[in-house]
Amino acid sequence: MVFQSPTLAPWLSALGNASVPLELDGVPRAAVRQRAAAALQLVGLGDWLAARPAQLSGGMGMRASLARALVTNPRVLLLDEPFSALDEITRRALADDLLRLWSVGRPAIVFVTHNVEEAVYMAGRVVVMTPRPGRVAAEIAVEASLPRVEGFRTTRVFRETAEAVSAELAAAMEPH
Amino acid sequence: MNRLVSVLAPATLIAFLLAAWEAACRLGHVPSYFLPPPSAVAEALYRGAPSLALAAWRTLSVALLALALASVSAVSIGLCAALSRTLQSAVHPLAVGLQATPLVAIAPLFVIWAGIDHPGRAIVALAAVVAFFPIYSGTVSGLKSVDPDLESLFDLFGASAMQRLLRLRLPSAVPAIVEGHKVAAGLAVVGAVVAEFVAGSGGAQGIAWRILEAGNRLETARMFAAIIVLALMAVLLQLAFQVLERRALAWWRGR
Repeated sequence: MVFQSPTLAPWLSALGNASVPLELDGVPRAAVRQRAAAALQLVGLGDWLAARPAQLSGGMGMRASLARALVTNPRVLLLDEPFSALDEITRRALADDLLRLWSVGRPAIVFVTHNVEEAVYMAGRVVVMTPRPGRVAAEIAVEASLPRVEGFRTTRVFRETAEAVSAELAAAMEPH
Repeated sequence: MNRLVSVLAPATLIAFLLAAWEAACRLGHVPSYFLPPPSAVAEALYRGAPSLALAAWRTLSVALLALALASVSAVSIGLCAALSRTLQSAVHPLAVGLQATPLVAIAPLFVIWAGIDHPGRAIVALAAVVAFFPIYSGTVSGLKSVDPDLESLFDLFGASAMQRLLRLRLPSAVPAIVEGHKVAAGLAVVGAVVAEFVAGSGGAQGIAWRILEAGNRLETARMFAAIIVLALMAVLLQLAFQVLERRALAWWRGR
């Protein structure tokens, strides 16, 4: 589970935060430290194990939050608008990193976003939801390889899928 | 420049007021039992400094002891209350009632309970009673002020009630508990002073007793001197706790 904000415990270091799920699960201490450090390494925070959340930037906080979600090797991950508070550069870097992380164990990721292009970039399948009550309005497959090739945002597949999703979204928003 | 002004401005005002006070006393022939001139207060302060400092230390150490007692009892009761809603609603009206009752009103009771031979015990107990509430309410409200998203994460990871308390709620409560201690430290001094006044015997010779004693003898300059020492002590204690609070928060937050 990853929220819109990093949601880290301010009194714990990055390593301590990433250790929480394992500690609560009763994993032995030495293994906890080692796996948490490995998870942080994976998200690119290998040099920041001892840093507190207050010392991390927004993007780094999100990475730590991601490490905490990945540390248990989950088969399902729910990411609730994880990049919505980040600037565009950080958001794109994290998107590629997340897809790279996904390609290792290929867990199922449910990625909630309000950004059409982000949805098309991240997902193999885009599910468009209606506003209250939230129902599935449409489902669109993105016919391209994951993780994305460089320059995917400029390809025709990307543009056309994004247009299709936008159209479905507009239709779903209309009151019936 | 601004710093200089912020130091010089109050210093000048104080110097001016002292000079006016001194002049008024001398020119108006005010009897010194009514209002001693600042020079007489300064002399009393200078002569009495060692014994006043000792008396202030006695009161301070009593207040700190009371603070420690209040801290242990308030935090542990707060923790128990956090675990049981029933206990919390049972304790709450009592705690509020005790806090709302004027301290002076219950002080004589404590003096009776402690016995005429042990006024020191009454003073510690009374100071601890006033110091209890801010720490207790800080603990209880701090234990509730958990980030709801972190809370649902702990749900997701299947945390037990005990794990939740020790790993999530207690660390979340640290800032509120520290703040409670800062408030309680000031109140503990108030409690100690009130209790010394009520005990009013030579058995507990703290700074408040020195004020009382000087007042009874109409040695107003010595009274002033003792009050100044008490005020200084309270201000220094408050400053010390502000520094402690800042340090504790910096440690908690990591910067």
